[in-house]
This record gives sequence, C-alpha cells and structure tokens, in this order.
Amino acid sequence: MIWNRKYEAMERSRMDQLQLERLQATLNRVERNVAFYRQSLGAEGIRAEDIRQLSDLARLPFTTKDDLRKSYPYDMFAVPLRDIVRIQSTSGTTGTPVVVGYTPNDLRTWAECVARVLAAGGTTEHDVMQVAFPYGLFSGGFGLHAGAERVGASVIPASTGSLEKQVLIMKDFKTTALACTPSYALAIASAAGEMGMQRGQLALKTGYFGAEPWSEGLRSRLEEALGITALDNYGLTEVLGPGVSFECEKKNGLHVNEDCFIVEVVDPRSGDVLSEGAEGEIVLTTITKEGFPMVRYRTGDLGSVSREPCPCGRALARMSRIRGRLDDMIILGATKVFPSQIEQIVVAETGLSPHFQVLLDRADGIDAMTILVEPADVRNGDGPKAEHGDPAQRVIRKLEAVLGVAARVETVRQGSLQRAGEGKLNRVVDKRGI
Amino acid sequence: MLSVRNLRAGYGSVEVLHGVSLHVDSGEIVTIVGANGAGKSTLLGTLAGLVPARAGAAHFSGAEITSLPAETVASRGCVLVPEGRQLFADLTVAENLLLGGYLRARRGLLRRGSRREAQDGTRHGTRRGARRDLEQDMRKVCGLFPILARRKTQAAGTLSGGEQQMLALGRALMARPALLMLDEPSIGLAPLVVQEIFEVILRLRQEGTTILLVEQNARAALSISDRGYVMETGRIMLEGNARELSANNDVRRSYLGREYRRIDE
Repeated sequence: MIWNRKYEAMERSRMDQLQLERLQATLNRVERNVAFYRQSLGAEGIRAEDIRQLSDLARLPFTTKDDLRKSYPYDMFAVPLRDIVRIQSTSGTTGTPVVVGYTPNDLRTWAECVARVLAAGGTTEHDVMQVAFPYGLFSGGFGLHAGAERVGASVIPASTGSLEKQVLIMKDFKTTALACTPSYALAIASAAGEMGMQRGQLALKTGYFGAEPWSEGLRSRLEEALGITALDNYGLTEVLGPGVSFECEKKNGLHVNEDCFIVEVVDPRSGDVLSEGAEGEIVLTTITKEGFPMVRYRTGDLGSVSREPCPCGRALARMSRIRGRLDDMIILGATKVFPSQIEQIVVAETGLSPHFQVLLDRADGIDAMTILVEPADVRNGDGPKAEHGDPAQRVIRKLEAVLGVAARVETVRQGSLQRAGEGKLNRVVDKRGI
Repeated sequence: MLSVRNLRAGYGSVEVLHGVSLHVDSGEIVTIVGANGAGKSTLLGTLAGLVPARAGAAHFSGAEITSLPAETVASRGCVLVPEGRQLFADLTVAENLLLGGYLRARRGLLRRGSRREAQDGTRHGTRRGARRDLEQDMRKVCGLFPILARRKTQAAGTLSGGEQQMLALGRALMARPALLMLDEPSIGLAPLVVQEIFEVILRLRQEGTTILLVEQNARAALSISDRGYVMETGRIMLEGNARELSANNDVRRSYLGREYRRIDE
C-alpha cells in the first residue's frame, strides 16, 4: 500500500522542482545558522545561492562522520536548543557519539517517513506491531514506534532484552509485525524454537529489519523460520533514523523518500559522483530537516541507485540493498569481501547455524582468514542435517569459487558464538594489528 | 501552474531577489511570509512583469513569462492585486471594476471569436459580446462583495480601507485570472475586516482560482493556505505545508526579527 501517493508517485519534473526548492532553502538556512557549513562553503568559495540546479550539488563539500564527531554535542544544530524537542545519538562504539536534534516538524516528518516503510509492507491499523529495537538514544526504537503509531497499528514498545520475553509477547499479544535488527530476529527465532513454539501459535505476518546490512540468504532463513515476509529498510541517525528508504512488496530495491532526501552515489576514494547503477558510497542530503540538516553526508554504506520505474507504482528512486559498510570491508591480500557476503554462504548451509565469526590473522607476513561456524541445532528449526558431506568443507569451496577467498573454516561448539543482544554485532575480529 | 527557478531581480544597482525558486500548483493557496524588506513585493512585481528579471525563469501554464511585458502576463491570466490597493481614486467603483476587464474587452474588439458573434461578423457584434460578458462578471463580483454594489456610483477614494481592498480584489477578478497574486491584502486593515478578506480568498479558491499570497500577517495567511514559503533578505529559507510553517519558530522570528547568539540560550 502506498501511504502518500502525492510524494511517492510524484512525477519526475515536479519532484525535481520540489527537491531544488527544498535544497536551496536548506542551504540558505545552514549557511546562515551553522558555523561548520558557513566555513566549509566559504573554503570552497561557494555561496548557497550559487546552487541553481540539482547537479550543482556535486560542487558542495562533503560532511563526514569525523566532522560530526568534532561538533559534539550541539555545534551542527541549525536551530536554538529551545526549538529542539528531541535529542538522539549514535552509540559511540567507534568514537565520540554523534548527537542529533529534532524540532516538532522534524518528528512529524520522521513519523511520516517511517509510516511509508510500514504501509509498503501492508501494515495498517489492524496490525499489532512489536518494536524490538532498543528504545533510548538509539533512533531505531523511537523511529519505528512513531511510524507505527502514525499508521495506527497497536504498538508494543518491547525494546530489547530477554529473548524469552520477546517470544511470549509475540505469542500472547498476537504480534503481526516485528521490527528489529535481522540478527536479533534470528535470535528471537532461535529462542522460539528452543521454547518449542509452533508456527501456528504465532500471528506474525511481516518483519521490518534494518540497522545493519543483511543478505538475501538471511532473508530466506528468517522468512522460513518465522513464517513472515521480511522487508529491508534503511536509515541512519545522522540523517534521520529509520525511514530514509524502504522495500516495497516487489523486494526490488529500497525506495528513497526523495521529497525529504537527495541521494547520490560517489566513488569512496575520489568523491566523484557516479552514474546511475554504479556501486559506490551512498551520500545523503536532507531537504526538510530543520534541527539537524545534513549536506552531502558520507554514510560509509556501499550501494547503488536506480531510477528505473518500479512496478509497485512508486516513482521514488531505488537504492540497492546495502552490500556492506566501507568500514567493515575485509581486505585480505588482494581480495575485498564483506561480512554479508560470507553470511550469504554460511546461511545457505542448512547443516550450519546462521551464526558465524570471522577471525583475521597474520603469520609470516601473510594474511589468513578463519571462519568460525556452529553446527545446526535441529531443535531451533535450523534445518535437518540431511545433506551429505561436511558443511564446513562446502563453505570453504564456495568461498573460493564465489568470492575468490581462501579461508579456513572451523566448527565450534553450538551456542559459543556471539549472538545479537544490545547494540551492534561484532562479527569480525581482526588480530593483524593494522 | 506557476514554476519559478533561481529568480533574480532588483532596482538599479541593488539586487533584491537572490535566486528564488518556488511553485504553485493549480487550485492551491500558497503564502509567502517574511518581514518588511524581505523582497516579497519585488517577487510578485517581477512575476507580474513590472520589475525586470535579471536571471532565472518563471513559467506560467507551461509558457515562460520572465521577459514578457506586464499587460501580456495579465492577459494570460496571471493577475496582480498590488500592495496598497492602487485604485483610481477619482473614478467610481463601477468604472474601476470595468477597467479591470480592460484587457478582455480589448481582446473582444480585436478577435473574431467571441461568444456572441454577429451574423455579419462586424466589429459591432464582437464588442457587444465582450461587453455583455463584462457586465455579467461585474454582477458576479458585486455578488461576491455586496458592499461594492451599494457603492457602485461612489468615487473609489471615498471608500473605507476594507472596502477599497475588496474593490481592488474585484477589479482583479474582472480579468478572469487563473492565478491571483495578492500583495499584502491585510495591510492597514482592522482584524475583523482582515478575516472577511481571507474568507473571500477562500471562496475564490473554491471557485477555481489559484492564489499566491504575500503577507506579513503570517498567522492569518497560513491559516487559510495549503503551503507556504518563508523569505528573508531575498532568499527562500523554508518551504512546507501551512501547518508545518505555523509550527516553526523561524517563521515567527522572521517577522519579529529576533536574533539569538548562542545555541543554548
């Protein structure tokens, strides 16, 4: 279902005009109100009024995570604190956290964006939505919550915590839609299996998973394990929270809310804007945010953008699913590989549990990768060990054949690998001292 | 209906509009709010063809109007009700209204296709047809503003402020505008009269006229608008639906002119 046809199906030339107007207004505002942008524009000798068409955006300097860290806490805010009614922040696991602020209009726009995510998955006022993202400074919980309330669903602010409790709530409260990270969904599915939950006891229909890259293989696994349609959605706290882009029922890319964001794809090294369809770093510019506008924010996420029309009826450009975070890219000699690619291979093995970990080592100047896997737990519905041969061996062969990676695969004790809990999963342990 | 990109204009060596982009869709009421000196009147004047554009483009109903003379812009259906009414004070109410339809009458004289074409195709016939339309429109305008009917033979200069505003509006309506541009219709008027004027504007929209409104009285204007833009020093600072703009403190600041120094004041 399309939540807001006016914007989601807006004809291209009208969307271009709207984006230009909103971009110019945003640039005028940040030039006047945010010292960082005054300086960064001034350093390039550019004034806001020099931007006369959307392609001129490429002339503007980028905003990086580092810039945001240096502005801790409030230096990037574009309105006085008394106009800010909500403060959220990133987790700060990789450095100083980034603090963001929302005005009342920003909160309304945020809810509208997330409402579109949920409507695309068919969620309505007749649904019971369990939001199992952490509620707190992290924008995931509140973001999904506001969107779910906007569509009128019965929202359960479950947050994270005891997996058994999540499963009991799902059963007793008759949850029909689940929102959380894909790794947490996997953990919930495992817990449900351990508790002996039968498929018929749950009312689940749809899963909205995001906040980390996840493979098609994991999607199939989750859909099978929970009996749902699993849809991807994308966002980041620095730019909004969840709600920047979302999959429709066609599962054919994530529609970007273009009336609120301008999306570009750039070469991660040179910063050059790439043409449609090429893969590179996703760069986002907010065009409706009042409290914390962002101009050309380097997300660090790898993907591509297409303007091909989607059969769902939306005219919004589509982002590919995120291949991985640039930071998470594993460089092994001459090969580059993302954890999600390894996930795709491990998760396809029904003889293995979907959990894995990557260890990187260096011996005698040569990089080596070891992948730790667990055998499947039949109780958890991981799938029968009916296939012949050693699944670990198959993984080794596939890694070589598909990714060109020579790795060792070690099978460890069931349950010994890190599962999703609070915060982000750390699947790569790099002991090479780089 | 109206699409503007990067419009620049000014007076002499002073540039007042620094790259303004906006649009008005058919059937909308769009308001531009901002303090004195923001450039709002210059914007409408430039769109109307009274102030020459130095850069940028404006498209009305698909055609570019940026370099057209004012009477051509008006004859295409983009009509301005200027700030301060600017009525012909010594002429009667009826004469002011009739003059509002001048362009249509003139067209009726020159063009062959009028609603009531005489059998022999003489100029006599077409003029009569155009005149008949005008009189019908005058009756319609007087129906919209009964006070004007009562004061029909009075000199426009003897009317009260509110009545003059209604006459200015009525005069513009005589040109059968597709887009009506109103420059500060509430200025100098008592609150009750302002309310009346805005009610009329709403009715005009209901009857199919698209409205572009420029107002310092942001609260009143936004209460009847669909969308708005905030202008400051010749630039658009914000675009949004009327409700969002009303909730935005910058809107209030932009016409109160409040400044703040620190982020956590």
